[in-house]
Amino acid sequence: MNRMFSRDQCISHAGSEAMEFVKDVLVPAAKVLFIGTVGLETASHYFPGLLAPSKNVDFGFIIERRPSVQVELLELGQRHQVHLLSSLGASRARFAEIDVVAPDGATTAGRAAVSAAAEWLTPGYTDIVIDATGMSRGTCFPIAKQAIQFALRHNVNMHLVVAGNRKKSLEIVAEANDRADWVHGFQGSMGSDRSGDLMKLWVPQLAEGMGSALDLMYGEIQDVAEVCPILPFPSYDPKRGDRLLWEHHQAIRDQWETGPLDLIYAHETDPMDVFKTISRLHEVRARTFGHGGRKTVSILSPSGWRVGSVGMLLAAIEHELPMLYVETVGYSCRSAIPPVVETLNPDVSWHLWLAGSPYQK
Amino acid sequence: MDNPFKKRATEYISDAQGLLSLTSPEPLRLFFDKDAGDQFDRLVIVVGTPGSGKTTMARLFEFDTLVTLSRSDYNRDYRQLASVLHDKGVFSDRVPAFLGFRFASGSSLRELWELPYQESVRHSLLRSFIQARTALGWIRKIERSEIDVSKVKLVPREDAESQAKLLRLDDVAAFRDHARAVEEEIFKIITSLVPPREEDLTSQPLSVRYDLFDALEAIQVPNIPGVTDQPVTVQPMLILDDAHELHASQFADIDLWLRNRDIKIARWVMTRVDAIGHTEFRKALADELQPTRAGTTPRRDRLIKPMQRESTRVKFRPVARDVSKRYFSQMPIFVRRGIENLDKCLREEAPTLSTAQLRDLNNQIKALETESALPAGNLRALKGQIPDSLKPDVSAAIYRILLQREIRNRAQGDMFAMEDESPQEDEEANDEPVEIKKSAWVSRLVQGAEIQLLHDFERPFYFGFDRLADCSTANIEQFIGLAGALVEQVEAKIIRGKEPTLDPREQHKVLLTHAREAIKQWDFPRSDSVKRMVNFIAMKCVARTTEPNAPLTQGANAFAIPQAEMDRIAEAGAELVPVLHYALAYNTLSIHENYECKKRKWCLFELGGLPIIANGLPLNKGGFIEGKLSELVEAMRP
Repeated sequence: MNRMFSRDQCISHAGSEAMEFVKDVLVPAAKVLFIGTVGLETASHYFPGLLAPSKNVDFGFIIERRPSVQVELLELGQRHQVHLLSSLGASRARFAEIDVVAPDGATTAGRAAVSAAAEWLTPGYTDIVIDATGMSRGTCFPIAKQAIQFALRHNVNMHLVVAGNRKKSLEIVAEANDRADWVHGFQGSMGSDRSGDLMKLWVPQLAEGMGSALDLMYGEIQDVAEVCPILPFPSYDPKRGDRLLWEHHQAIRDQWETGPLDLIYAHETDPMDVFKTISRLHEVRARTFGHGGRKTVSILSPSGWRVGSVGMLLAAIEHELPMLYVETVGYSCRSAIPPVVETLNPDVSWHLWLAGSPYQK
Repeated sequence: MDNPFKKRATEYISDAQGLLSLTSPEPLRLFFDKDAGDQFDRLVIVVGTPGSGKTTMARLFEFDTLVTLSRSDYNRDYRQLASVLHDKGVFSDRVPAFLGFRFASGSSLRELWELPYQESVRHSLLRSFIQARTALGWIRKIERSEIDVSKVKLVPREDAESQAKLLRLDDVAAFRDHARAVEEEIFKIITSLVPPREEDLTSQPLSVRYDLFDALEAIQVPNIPGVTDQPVTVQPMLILDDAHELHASQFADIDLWLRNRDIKIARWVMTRVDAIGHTEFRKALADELQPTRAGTTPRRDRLIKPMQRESTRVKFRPVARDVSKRYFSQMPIFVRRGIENLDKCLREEAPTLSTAQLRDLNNQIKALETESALPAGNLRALKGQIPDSLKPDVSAAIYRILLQREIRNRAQGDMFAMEDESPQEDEEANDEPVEIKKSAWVSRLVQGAEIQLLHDFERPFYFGFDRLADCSTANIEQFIGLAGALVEQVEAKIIRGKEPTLDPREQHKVLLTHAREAIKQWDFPRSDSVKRMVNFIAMKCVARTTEPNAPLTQGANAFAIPQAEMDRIAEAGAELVPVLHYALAYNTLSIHENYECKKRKWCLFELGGLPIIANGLPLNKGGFIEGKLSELVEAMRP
């Protein structure tokens, strides 16, 4: 019987090991489905580039359409699409455009992404690879969950890969939506009458410039019992955690009434550290309050570095936790946009084997 | 709660006591008409910007909050609130008349629209989900009020016997189980990664159709501990909050459904102003705000209640005063010093220019007098129009304006020997007696002169409690934000052992800094375009307001386009629609349609309080710049 990862057993590779795994295991694999996105950052070309030499890989790319994107960035996206087409070949690369938000501002990313991916997830593959690198969380996380379910059902391997750069090649400014949403497929019982019985712990990952988004999410949850914000540490910039603490100090102190002991520190670029930290927190809390007959729920809100927030995804899947977020409705760029497509090796890369042969009994 | 001003919204306060301690009865007085009865027997759509107090009102009407209020009648802070609710029939002899449940629309309801089913199926699921969830909400509210749920009786409508059987109204436990099963069934469909196919819905173990509202008449509870030992019959009430998050078709369907007069439950739909963007609904709102004409019954099956009305600027002052008093009573640092309200900390003595500045102003006047070549008698007559009670700098600034007008009139060869003032008064104001008109004219002229002194000499303008309240554009959250910035400074003074008051210059500086910072931090969707559009309007208004002859007297704080252009916005300004949507939603602008002036109908885009402060514009409404829709479209582009 096929099974999936757990906190106690999750096969993962970082950096050069991840690259070697892709080259040594996935490139020679019999039939691979790769699902990624046409991203704006150069890191989003990394894994498609590693898999390009294999003739056994089918590529599916999601193109996320947003209502408010700077024209130059749209053009950059188109250049990246042309680059993928030329480097992978038109016969192997398929593209699906999805609307991230509806005209009235409602978030539709997850549902649309799952619907697009369902067309590609057909029996016959030995390995499914989801590349989270350039995908927004609202798109990537539902697809990852869908791919795990598919892998379990069809007895195939499911891999999640993600790459990132310490210094972004573009200074992109995101425009957030003005409503908080549950990540599609990760709502749990939140919003139903039964959720009124739960003691709610909110675990938001703090990141720069997301004060309003945090406000929206806090308002959405209602009756939050505790807030335990996650700060990045260790981090490339050791002072980043302190700066974030200062940026959000008013919300932390006055709004959430969070004390210093409630702060959680987790590695900025190690998803396994984030995963284990959240798992520990959730289990201890469930055990403690469970003795008193109270049911608890930990609500996760990923943000900031994609690599770190993948850890939240793992925790959400393992413990069936709800995830709340605020979708991005537009992008603009404050730096010069390169006229040619750049392909640089990323500073950070991970491979996580989430379901398949290593976990078979 | 050390500083409630730092809680950005009262809706974040989860316990009923905390909410009640900060809830002012004043907005309720404004909200309810003389006859509150019609707000509980038909659909009421409550429209307001974020922060206008919709959710606070919704939470106040929830059963457990009302019960808490009733149980706390010893608390004198709550007495006024309870008194207003008694007057409006929400309480009868301390007993709540309604069993209110606030259902926040959230994303779940909107998600129903995205399901791959026929529209009628999606609407049917939406209605059933709302009803099942509301039924569970009512029971939960009863439970939270420590009432024995097993003794609750559900009273069906007389003609709904068979439906009552289906819904299990005869047995509250079975009724709850049934409602929960329906709710969970639909919830599973909404939240599943891949929803079931439409044809599979019929094979669900349970029918997901649930029609409760037109079968239920009332709910009887055996007692309300701490309030009464007698059985009480209450009218169930649904408060559907944040309805702007619904899809336009869902909103329209709910509007149609809840207008049905056969429904006996009280029902309020709370929505942000942008949900009424659809032409038809905007028209309905405009009709609603018009006085009822003889022989018509526009409010027969639906009431639309705006949280902020044009006429409430002055009425908002007591609301702000009461809110501030309540917030101060929660802050030990002020309670210990016997400071009951913020107005005690805001000094209102009018500032004046420095001697050098006044000399500079008088020199300008002398030069103008020479330029005008007016005989001394005429100059005296001009001065005679200025009341003696004014400060020397304001008198001088008014005199300067009048001189400029005189010079301008003469330059035009006395062809139109009249005041060079563009009359932009509301047409209704024309009927007022001469004395009142004159006094209003002087008051506008004083404000115009003060605004010019602000721009020319940085003389403080935004100070004193009344102007603070006026800056809030009748929005409680905006008031709390502005007042909070001032409170922080007063606290700092106390900590430094200084007098806990702020002089006008300090107040003006704090408000200006806060407004500019708040605008910089706007990060709602399309905020960059909104900033550009607001800045365009503000710059136009500043230029017109600071013209030496003050042609609009008090100045301008609005941009007006002919109403006919606004009526064609869908074609002519399609690009502008989403930007306008968020500009209105976030209180950066407000729209005043069909404003009659100069024998024409206008649509006014009035700046919100923050842009007004940040750009040094007057607070009185009415002064506007004439323009075209195409100018706004051009202005919002990068």
